[in-house]
Amino acid sequence: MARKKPKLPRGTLFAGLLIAGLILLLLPQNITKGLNFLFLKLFNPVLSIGRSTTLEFSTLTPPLANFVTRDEYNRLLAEYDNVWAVLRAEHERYEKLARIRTGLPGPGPVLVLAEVRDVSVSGLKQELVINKGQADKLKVGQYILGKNSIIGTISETSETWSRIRLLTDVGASIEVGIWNGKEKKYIRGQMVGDGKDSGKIPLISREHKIRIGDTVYAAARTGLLETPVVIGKVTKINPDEKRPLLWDITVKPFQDAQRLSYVAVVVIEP
Amino acid sequence: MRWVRFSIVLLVVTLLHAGNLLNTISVSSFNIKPDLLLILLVFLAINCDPSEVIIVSFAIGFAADISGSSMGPYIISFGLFGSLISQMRKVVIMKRMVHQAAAIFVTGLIAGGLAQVLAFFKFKTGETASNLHVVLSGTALYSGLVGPIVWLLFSAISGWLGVHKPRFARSAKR
Repeated sequence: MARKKPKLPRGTLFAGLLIAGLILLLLPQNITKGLNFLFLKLFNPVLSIGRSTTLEFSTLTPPLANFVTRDEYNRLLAEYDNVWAVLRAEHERYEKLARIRTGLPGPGPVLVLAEVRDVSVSGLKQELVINKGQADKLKVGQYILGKNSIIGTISETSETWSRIRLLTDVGASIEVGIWNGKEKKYIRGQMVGDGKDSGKIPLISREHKIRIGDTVYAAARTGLLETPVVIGKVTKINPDEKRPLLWDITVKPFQDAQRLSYVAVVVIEP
Repeated sequence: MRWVRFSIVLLVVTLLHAGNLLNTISVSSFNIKPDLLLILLVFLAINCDPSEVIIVSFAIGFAADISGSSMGPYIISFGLFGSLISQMRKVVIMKRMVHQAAAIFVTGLIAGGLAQVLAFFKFKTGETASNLHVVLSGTALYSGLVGPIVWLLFSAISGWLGVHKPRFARSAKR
């Protein structure tokens, strides 16, 4: 004898599923994010098919001994700019310490190396997923280094995985300083992502002399970044169309973060 | 509907949707690519039994959410619009490719927009993507253009999935 399937009325079914969806929507992200990370962990090998990463430099033979690849050039340039930023910060610190020693020096930053497990890039979000999380003392807001330059900040963490919001993400906003070599000072601003491959620094007065090629640094922040670290270079500078007294500055990050295999998280011990 | 087979198809489409493979056909600097889950939603909403469409729509929404970064927005959005398309097919016949493309485009725009609004309420961060309209309309348009081709693929496996022939096909033969 054929068994008759129990059938829910359509309205009840729809209402039940809609309520379930609403519950999921209203639950805090801290609770539901586990599902998203679980999906990423389970299907990571399949999801990463088709992702292109840079070739390791050591595997490449340069055509001429005096030349390096663009990738290596950017890495070295970022390192050079960082050394200068550290030197400047150390110099300022020395000047202060020479007068008065205010306290004992704190422990320095620790770099936690992490593997990039997933890349998600669209006009609405630009993020990486890495295989380190709260277990390695990673927290929301910490800065991420990709080959010596800052590429983003941590936006979400789980016990073992974290999500990184790239600087080019439309929701990214980071305090920066444009180094002015002539005046020997940083011009402070807030960089926001453009959803493509660059960042924009709005609200900078045209009184400041900024030129194409000026280096942009992530500003030092207590507990997150001890010294300014390089982000990229100013690639375009025009008067703001809506506010002619301000600059419209475009910054191109040194690294194409989507092609990185490994990144380092700047963890500063309290 | 054969639910185990549907689950397999949904998993494959979700992995394609969330993975990096489709980046090869992405366009513009916004990396716009077709939304396969949206095409599957419209296809099944038009071809399945209305009771099944409700479950299918919410399941596709769940898949879209779990492969993204937050839970809830797409379940509600796809659930609502999948069920709505299922009701609309009684008045609008979507047999021609142009109609299918238009249905995918419109659903992509409205359902995508609703999902973004719901995500905004979930996070309450005050962030709004300045290029949201470009990405939404671009994705909907690309999905609409690619939709009829993917539709043919889904049609080819519809028998295996246990999807019944649409009513308008039978009436057209008369």
